[in-house]
Amino acid sequence: MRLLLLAGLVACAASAQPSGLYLTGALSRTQFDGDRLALLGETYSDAFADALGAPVDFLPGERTHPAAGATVRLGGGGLGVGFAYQVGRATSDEASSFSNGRGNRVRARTLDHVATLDVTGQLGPVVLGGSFGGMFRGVRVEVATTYPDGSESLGSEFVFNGVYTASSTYFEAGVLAGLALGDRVFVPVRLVVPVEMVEDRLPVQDFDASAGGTHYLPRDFDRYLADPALIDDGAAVSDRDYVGPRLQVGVEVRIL
Amino acid sequence: MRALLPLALLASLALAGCDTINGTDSGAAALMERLDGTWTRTVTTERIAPNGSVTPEGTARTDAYEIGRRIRCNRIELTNAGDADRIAVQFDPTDPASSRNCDVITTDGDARRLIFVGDNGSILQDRVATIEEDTASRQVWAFYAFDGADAIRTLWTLTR
Repeated sequence: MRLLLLAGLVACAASAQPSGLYLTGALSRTQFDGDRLALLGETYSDAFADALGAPVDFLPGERTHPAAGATVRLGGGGLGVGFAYQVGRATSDEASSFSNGRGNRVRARTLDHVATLDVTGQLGPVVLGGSFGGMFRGVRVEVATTYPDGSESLGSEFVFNGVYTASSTYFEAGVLAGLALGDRVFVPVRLVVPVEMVEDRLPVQDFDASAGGTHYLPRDFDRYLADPALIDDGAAVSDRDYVGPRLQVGVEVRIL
Repeated sequence: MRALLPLALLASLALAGCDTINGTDSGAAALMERLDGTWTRTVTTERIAPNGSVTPEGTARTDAYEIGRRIRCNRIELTNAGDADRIAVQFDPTDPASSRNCDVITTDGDARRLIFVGDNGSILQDRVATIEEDTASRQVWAFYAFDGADAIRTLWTLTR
């Protein structure tokens, strides 16, 4: 009964979504290729099982993170289009600890630039439609060695240390459902999946002038230990490992 | 004025994540500008035991360290090409004409480490230091190595 009352109140407050410029704040649940990314933590934890305090997952496959942007919405007669641009940033910070007091700390962050086209229809306060976009995702993974006194090193004493980067570009397509509240507020929910035109994988790699740029972030730590300097693409974390579906809940406020 | 607000907002959004689009490493260039000039370098060494205790090793050594785009390295003059790299030269301040140790140094976007490209004349190996302090008048760079179970930390403290 209360739910019905609440729905009634929302419906009364709702009206047709007006054209204009909206500011967007959103929360995204982004999924990467979790199985591929998890391999680093699994193989690392296995390789150092005797000395490691606990297994570690250095590169989590899912992140919840904020996003912000702006959307221009144009509509009339129950149909509308929206042109949106958003920036989103997701981070993780995972550390291992050995019995000798040392360890590794892996900080990862993705920085998304998303340009989206929404095509929507409106029935009362409810907006439904499709969402199509282009994603440019920058990936940065910082691997440090930690010491018993609490200090951290990005130095060359271990090849594993480094600042690894990559970028992945791909299209997204999905559905959008939302609620128009009053003439200034819109609450959209987007579910989009990647549409990849290119299947080639490029390794996430560190700056290394003297090694010809072939210093990759290892994905398979066993292969890395066997050959740290010459690890090949198949054993490296790649840009496509950071591609996956995205669920987003946002609030848009019209300012013009 | 009100119409400019959205434009300013869009511009700031576009700039907010420019490190994914723009590879010019503005942080690296800014660090290199801070480093330009002649410094007094003090080299100290510490031993880090597995229990976390830190003890000094040996005695501190002091010399001069010059960083710039164009520096004389013994009989030749070295010049760098990029904004994010420099020539670095260590020498005896009491005898500037004496033999000099020369490096090409660079860093990356977040300027959290310093890379000595092809360190010690080897094109197969870079040497990387972690930047512990970074101001215009004081720099502290840490190099790590090992001696058994202990870690050995060598600190370069540059002041001027």
